[in-house]
Amino acid sequence: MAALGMPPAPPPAVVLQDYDRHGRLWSLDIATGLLTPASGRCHGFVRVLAEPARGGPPVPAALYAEGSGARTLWLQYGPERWDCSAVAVRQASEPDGHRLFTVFGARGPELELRYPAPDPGPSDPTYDWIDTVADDFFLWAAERLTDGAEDTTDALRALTEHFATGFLSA
Amino acid sequence: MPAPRPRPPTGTPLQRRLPLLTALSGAVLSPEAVEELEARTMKEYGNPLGPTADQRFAAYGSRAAVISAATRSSAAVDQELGAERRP
Repeated sequence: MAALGMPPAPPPAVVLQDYDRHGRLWSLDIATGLLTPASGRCHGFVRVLAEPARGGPPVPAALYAEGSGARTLWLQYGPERWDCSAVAVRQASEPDGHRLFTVFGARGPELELRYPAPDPGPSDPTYDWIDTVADDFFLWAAERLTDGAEDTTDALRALTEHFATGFLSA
Repeated sequence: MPAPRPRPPTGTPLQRRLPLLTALSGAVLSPEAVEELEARTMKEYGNPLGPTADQRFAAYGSRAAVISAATRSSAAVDQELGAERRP
C-alpha cells in the first residue's frame, strides 16, 4: 500500500504484445528490460531485438502504458525508458537505405538507433502503408508519437488510455 | 434439371484472391511468392490475408488512425506499379 501523499510505485513488470509475432506475449521487467513469456491483457507492444554480438539476452524496444488508470506513455529501450510527453522522437530514412531512430531529450539526443531498412519480402502489390508500418517498430512508434495527420495531443491521449486499459491479443 | 452446386473454393486464401489482385495491379505472383507472403502474414497476424481492423486498432489506439493509415500507399510499391502516390 502506497504511503499517504506518495505516488504508487510503478509495477515491476508489464505485459506486452510482440510487435512482430502474432500471439506471442512478453512480460517486460521495467527496471532491467528482461523479457519472459507471459499471458493476459497487453498494455503496449514490444519489439524483441536479438543481440548476438554481445551474446546477451534480447533487447526490448517497447511502447506502453503501465496499467489501468496510467496517464503516461513510456518508450523503453533495454533498461532505459522515457516519458513520451517529455521527449521528442524522429525516424528518418538515410540515403544508404538505413533508418535512424532518435529520441531527443531536453539536452539533445538521448538515444540513436541506426538499423537496416526492413525487408518487405517478395514483391507484393497489396503491400501498403499499414504493412510498411507493421514491418518497422520504430516507424510505428515515431508515427504514434508525432502523427501529423491528427491532433497529436488527442492521439497520444487516446493511445495512452487504450494501452492503460489493455487489450487482448487478437 | 437442378442447378449445379457451387464448387468449394480451392487453394489458399491468398491464391483464391490472386485473380483479383493481378487484375487490379498487373502484377504476377508465383506460387512460391504467394506461399512466402502467406507464411509471413501468418507469422505476423495469424491470418494469411493480413491484419484485421481490430489488430490494427490495438496498435493505433483509435479507429480514425487506422482508417488514416489504411488510405496511404507504399512508395516502393507505387513506383513498381507506376501508380499514383497516396501519402
